[in-house]
Amino acid sequence: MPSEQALAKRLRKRDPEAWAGLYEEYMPKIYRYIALKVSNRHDAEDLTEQVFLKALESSGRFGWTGAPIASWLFRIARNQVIDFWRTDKTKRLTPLHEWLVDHEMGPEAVAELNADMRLILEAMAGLTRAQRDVIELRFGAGLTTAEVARILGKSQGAVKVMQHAALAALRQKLEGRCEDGQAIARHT
Amino acid sequence: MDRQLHDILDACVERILRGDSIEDCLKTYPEQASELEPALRAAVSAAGVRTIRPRDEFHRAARARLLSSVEAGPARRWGLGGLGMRRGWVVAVAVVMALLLVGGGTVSAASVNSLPGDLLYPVKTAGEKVESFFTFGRENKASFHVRIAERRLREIEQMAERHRTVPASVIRAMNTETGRAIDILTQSEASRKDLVSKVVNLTAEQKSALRRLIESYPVEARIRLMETLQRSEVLHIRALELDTAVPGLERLKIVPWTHSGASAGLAPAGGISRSPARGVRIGRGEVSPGGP
Repeated sequence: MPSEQALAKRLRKRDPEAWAGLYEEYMPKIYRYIALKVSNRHDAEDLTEQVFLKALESSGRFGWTGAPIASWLFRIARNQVIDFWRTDKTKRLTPLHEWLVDHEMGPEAVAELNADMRLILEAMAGLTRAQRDVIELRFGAGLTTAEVARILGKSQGAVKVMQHAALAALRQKLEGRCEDGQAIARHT
Repeated sequence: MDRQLHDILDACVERILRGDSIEDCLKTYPEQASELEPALRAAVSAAGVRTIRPRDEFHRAARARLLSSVEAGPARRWGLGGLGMRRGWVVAVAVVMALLLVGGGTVSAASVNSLPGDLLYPVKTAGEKVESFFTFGRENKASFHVRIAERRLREIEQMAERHRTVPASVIRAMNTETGRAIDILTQSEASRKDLVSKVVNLTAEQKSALRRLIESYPVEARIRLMETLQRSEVLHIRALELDTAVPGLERLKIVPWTHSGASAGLAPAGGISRSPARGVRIGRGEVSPGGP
């Protein structure tokens, strides 16, 4: 990938190749982040698409300030999700774990993964909002600590502390939900 | 926990996200192994959310739409002094003013029966934009959105009858207008019963119309329509929630989901049921006719 500054310039000039590259790189991450937040495939798809269209709309005003492009995109995504919940709080229809996982696997693997996902998502639901933010951005979107820090407006040190606390809380909640620890062990 | 441990854990998380095993990480930091291991096991579990993937069809379609927008160029803003009005608005105002001044309303009247794709359809929608601009007050706004949603519904029905392809944008517009009406009614308390009943009936009609439309389409074209139907069902549920005193629906009640995962969106498949005493659950947002 070219340097962020060069990429920002190409994005501002609406270079199709640059936009295609940006989409391929970030769309799955943005989708995963939003899906964890809205729990509805249709809305996750709509909002993900809107993130890129909004990014395109504002790209003419995008001035390179040294901030990673990922931070810019995820800030748009975060605002989209906030607006989504502000306008309608009744959109949850389908249990998240039933439609989010990879559908190319065999039925047994899907069933097993669904069960694990359910455990993980239920455990995540018991975290504080700040802890969830870190887990969703770090593990869901796969961002670095530096990127997460920029998006949340915190220092990297603070994000590392939050991450540690979030993982400790998650472990505790997973243990509470899975007595024999099978779900955890399966991933190790 | 000291700062060094936070840094070590972060480094290990980074490795795990890249595919390293817990054991590899622990070997690197044997002195901290006992403290790190539980957190790393949770990290591996959390990394399980990476199995969430967008559908391939969505991936391709959204990419095509984005690149088409990239190539279409930026939306131009026309000057008009300091107003900074969007081009669409300028055109809408100009068209309607021209019709009022020159056409004496003839063309405007003729556009009323136009359908998407017709020559005069843009005149019809331009008129709606102007009307929206000059509609004031919550109740009036809500009535306006209901009326436009109803108009889109009739257009969809007429196009289906004539075997014309219904653009997805018209279905989306119908759902958007309905959603706007419901948003306003949700925040409004006074004298809205008639309007609420109207929205309940409208959303029920929309669901039926979309179902019929879906059945008339080839299988491969149905997926996207199914999603608009799902959106329509959500709107219908929201309309029902607006006023439980709507005639015939007194016994219907939205049952809060009490599962521990509710805040993560682990909601039940349906969500509407009769009172617990009657014990009838209606899944997937489907609302059956009134019971005894």
